[in-house]
Amino acid sequence: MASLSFALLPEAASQFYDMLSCLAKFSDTVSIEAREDRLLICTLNSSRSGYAGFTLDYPQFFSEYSFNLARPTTSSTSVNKYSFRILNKALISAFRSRVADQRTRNTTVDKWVVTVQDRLDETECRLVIQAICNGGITKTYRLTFEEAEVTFALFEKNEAKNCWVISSTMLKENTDFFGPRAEQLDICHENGKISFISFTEKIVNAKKEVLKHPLQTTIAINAPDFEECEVLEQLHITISVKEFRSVVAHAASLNVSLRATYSRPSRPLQFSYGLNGVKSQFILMTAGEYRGPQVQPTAQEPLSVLSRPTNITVPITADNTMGAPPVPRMAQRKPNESNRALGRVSPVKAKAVSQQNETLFVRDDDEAWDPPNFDTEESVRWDASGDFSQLQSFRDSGTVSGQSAGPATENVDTEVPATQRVSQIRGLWG
Amino acid sequence: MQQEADDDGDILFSAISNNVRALWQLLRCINFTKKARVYISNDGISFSVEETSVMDASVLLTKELFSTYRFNPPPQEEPEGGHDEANGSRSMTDTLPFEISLPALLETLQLFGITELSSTRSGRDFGSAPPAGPSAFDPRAIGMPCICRLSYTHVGAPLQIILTEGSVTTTCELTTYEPTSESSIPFDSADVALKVLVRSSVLYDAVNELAGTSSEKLLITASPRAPRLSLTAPGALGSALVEFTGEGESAENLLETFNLPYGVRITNEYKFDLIRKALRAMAMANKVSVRFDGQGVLSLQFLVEVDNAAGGKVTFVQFRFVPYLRENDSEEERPDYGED
Repeated sequence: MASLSFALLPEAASQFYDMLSCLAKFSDTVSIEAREDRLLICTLNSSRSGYAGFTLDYPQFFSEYSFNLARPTTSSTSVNKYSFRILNKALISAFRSRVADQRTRNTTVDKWVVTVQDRLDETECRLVIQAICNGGITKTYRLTFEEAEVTFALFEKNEAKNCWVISSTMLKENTDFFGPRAEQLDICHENGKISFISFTEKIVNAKKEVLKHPLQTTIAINAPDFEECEVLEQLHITISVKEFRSVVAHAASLNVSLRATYSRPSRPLQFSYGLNGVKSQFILMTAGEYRGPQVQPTAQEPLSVLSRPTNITVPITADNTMGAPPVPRMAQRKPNESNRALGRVSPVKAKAVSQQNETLFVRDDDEAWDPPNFDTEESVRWDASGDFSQLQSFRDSGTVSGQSAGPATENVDTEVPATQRVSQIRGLWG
Repeated sequence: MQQEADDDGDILFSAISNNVRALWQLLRCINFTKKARVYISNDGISFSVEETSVMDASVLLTKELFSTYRFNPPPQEEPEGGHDEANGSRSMTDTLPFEISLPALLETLQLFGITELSSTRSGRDFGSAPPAGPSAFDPRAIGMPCICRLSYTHVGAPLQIILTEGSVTTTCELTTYEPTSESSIPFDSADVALKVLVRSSVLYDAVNELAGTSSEKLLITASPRAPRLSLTAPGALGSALVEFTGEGESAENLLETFNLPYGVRITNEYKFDLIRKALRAMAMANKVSVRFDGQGVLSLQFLVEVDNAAGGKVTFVQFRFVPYLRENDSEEERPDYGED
């Protein structure tokens, strides 16, 4: 038994409607928890991988708000709260009229009054939503609800060291380019840019399983365009495009700055923003991987190019002259991937360096002989060398020691045993 | 008219209109069955449709909508008009009933109206008033009015529609069918239990609001006290209710007429899907008269103002709905009205 009632003016009701439609992208139901000075509407999706919630404060958001918990049986509970669950479809239809009213202009709603009818002397428990229009029309919805505890998602802020903040409208303008069927979104920081890569793992035609990634869209935003950007390089974190879109769309409708914080893949990511008594929080589960140097993630420093000392113990011969021994050429499939941390090294040099380093890495690291890591498949590119015998030595963790690289010369490439690509490489570098 | 009489003196019916769009819009309001029954009378040409004997709708294209309207009633057909007394609303002594494919007729009428279609297709944009001004490509704006000539030469002949726009003339002949059943829903206008006159847009808004609940039924309640008229849609997820509560002056604005002869609360239930079919008419009409008769038959009469180049003309679209049977005691409820 509880009594809750609050009133929304048209502007707040319109926001409330936007929130509900945003929550509708996550789940069919909405959980509502009322406390003395605020109301929380939230939802958890069916796979429990996404949580969305809005906290609405009393004086700022509601024009009237009253909450009384009269529960004689439960004594001295720590927090006074009352929570219930309701079908979003039913709730949203009660607020839909605000769209219509602007057009017909006959019946504009002056305010919405929402009350929870849950008393012992009532036979029916209903959420009563009254839209009071001018001109003497009242629209009343009596919706069934279910008293239920609210499930929250946990997010440890202390752990989440990676953070970026960006204007949501700008982000929306950019991320509108994602294909309609894209499923996953990979967010990573490289070369001073944050890249948003949408891709799909959906197999287009089961018979032609070859084409697993029909469309991949990369949107790179320069770090200075962010209001804040403290993200580990090479950290790839993957979330669902659909959920990302709905978060961004809602944030953009308020024209606020969107803050994303996360720690590492397979730990939750949080989007948050707030405006005028509304605090929005989205917690999404992530996948992904860390492609930077193999350091314990907790010990990583943000925004720094890390290097492994073991890799630079071997003197790099790139700076010598013609006499350098031909280097067994490793799978040189990802020159760009491996040198992306080398912001200051010119591309020509960087390429040579990475080539060397991969070689060294394979020799030094036992893991290199492990079976190929299929988890990293989304980043696999064509092996330009065509040297398939070396394929299994490929590892995706681009271990880079940029600072230690000596000046490379184009002579290195001339020493490479003649493969079918030499001429081409000379054409590129010579 | 005098001159033309020589040309087609023996033709049963012929009419010429230069406002094809208005005809099309009006007929579209009742476009939910394959066949429409057509009555031609001296007052105008009336199209009526019915669905499973629980709902019927009719549009009267009055002769004011046509620039030329001629009807030569065949003398031998006059006794046929007897069934119209059941229709009640109009005395059409000399009618000529036949059936016609309504979708085909609408297709025909919009042959030259495709540019206008896009602006009127989305139901909501109808608004309450006549649709917003003509676009630059409106044939009327260009100065090529589309002229439509309807003619029906003799009983059993096809209905001939000649559309002329500029130098293009299209002639269509629509097969006419013998009228099948002659039943129409009786509305006892001598025993009106409720009469309300409201702006149609208000009703449209209310019904549209309730349509969102995907309810099966619509309950219309009239009461002598404060929420004078209310529409309720009970649904699985809860119920939705629109009340016309206005008191005093605002009530006058909202409900122009409110007449409840028995002075007691009346509730009737109707099938929502059927009421929804009247939405198009609600959106287009200016005013609507909502009436119950003693048995609960609902009559919605929409007053539509047709924007004609020659000035506003008024025509009516009428819907009738049979209510759900009152569950507990349909027989005993009637005397109750009388007592209170």
